[in-house]
Amino acid sequence: MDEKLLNRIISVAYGDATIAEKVKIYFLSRNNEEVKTTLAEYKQTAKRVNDLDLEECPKEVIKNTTSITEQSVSNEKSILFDLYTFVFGRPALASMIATVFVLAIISTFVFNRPEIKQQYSTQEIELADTQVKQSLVMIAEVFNKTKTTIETEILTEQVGVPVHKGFNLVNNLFIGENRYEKNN
Amino acid sequence: MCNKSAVSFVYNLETMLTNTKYNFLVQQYRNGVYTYSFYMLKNRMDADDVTQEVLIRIWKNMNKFKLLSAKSWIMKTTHNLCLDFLRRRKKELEKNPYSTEDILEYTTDKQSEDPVMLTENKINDTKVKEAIKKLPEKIRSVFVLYEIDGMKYKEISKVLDLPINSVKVYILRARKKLQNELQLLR
Repeated sequence: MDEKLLNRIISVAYGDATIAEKVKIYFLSRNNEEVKTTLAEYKQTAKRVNDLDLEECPKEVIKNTTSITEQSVSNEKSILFDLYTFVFGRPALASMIATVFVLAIISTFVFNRPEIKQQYSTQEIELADTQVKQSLVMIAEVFNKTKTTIETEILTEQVGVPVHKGFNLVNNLFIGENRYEKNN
Repeated sequence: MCNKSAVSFVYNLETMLTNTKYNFLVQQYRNGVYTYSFYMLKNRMDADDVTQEVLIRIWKNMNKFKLLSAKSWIMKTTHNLCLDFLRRRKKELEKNPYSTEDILEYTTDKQSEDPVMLTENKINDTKVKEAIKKLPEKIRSVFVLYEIDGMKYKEISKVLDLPINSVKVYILRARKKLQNELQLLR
């Protein structure tokens, strides 16, 4: 077995390899007895290594350190510390809390929308409709009256008459001039 | 008067936060530090000393590192202290070739055995631990950090000042060596 293949088998056994690589080695191990045995052996070792726990730090070490730093390390934990450790000391818990927060925020937006309440009854709306129509009629009347006033009183009497007078005056002046020329 | 109480309040708050941070770090990393020291020094007493020294250094340097980069800092300190211990041990062995180190190591490891250790799993654990301890120092440190302390390639490269590719190569070598050692132990 060449070195490259052995390296690939080891990576697969320890779970570092990609899925494609795992599939390739799996199929290779089905046809090749040596690959199969090597993979099995390395897998067994990998499992044994993975099963190893961290060594427990002796309490005496912590006690000695506490006496030096004058700190309470393990026995006298504050509530704040407990909470801090509880929340941030465990990645699974921290991610769970984060998920809950995100879900809470999303649900607040989704379910807590301000309801559009129907503030007016049908009768009130009908009444408002009628009032609007009436007010529009009144406005139309005002416009009509204004139109009549402008046409009859303002344009004819207060504008038309003085303009007419002005034209007459000018005509008379021109007529008078013509007479004077004829006489000369 | 008011200023005094405000200053004392701020001081107390700061102290409380420092204590909380320290306690958190100790709770979080003491076993990791101890495990690394134990595998590197192959001796529980020395591992005790290194762990204690690391914890004191954490306390002294609380303001020199951020909580997020604490792990790298702590493991780097542990690694450096282990190297110091190993160098010192080597010098002592050169001076006194009949040192009691091996006997001491043997007895301390034996002392830690209890009846439960007699079960098959525990025997297997012990065999694996022994095989790991037999790995060369450089690849042992990378292997322990990766496989037992659960650090990532990038973190290990930071802690040991090694390129990431070297870390990967060392891990591969360690796995091969470990396999050979375990076959010899069978």
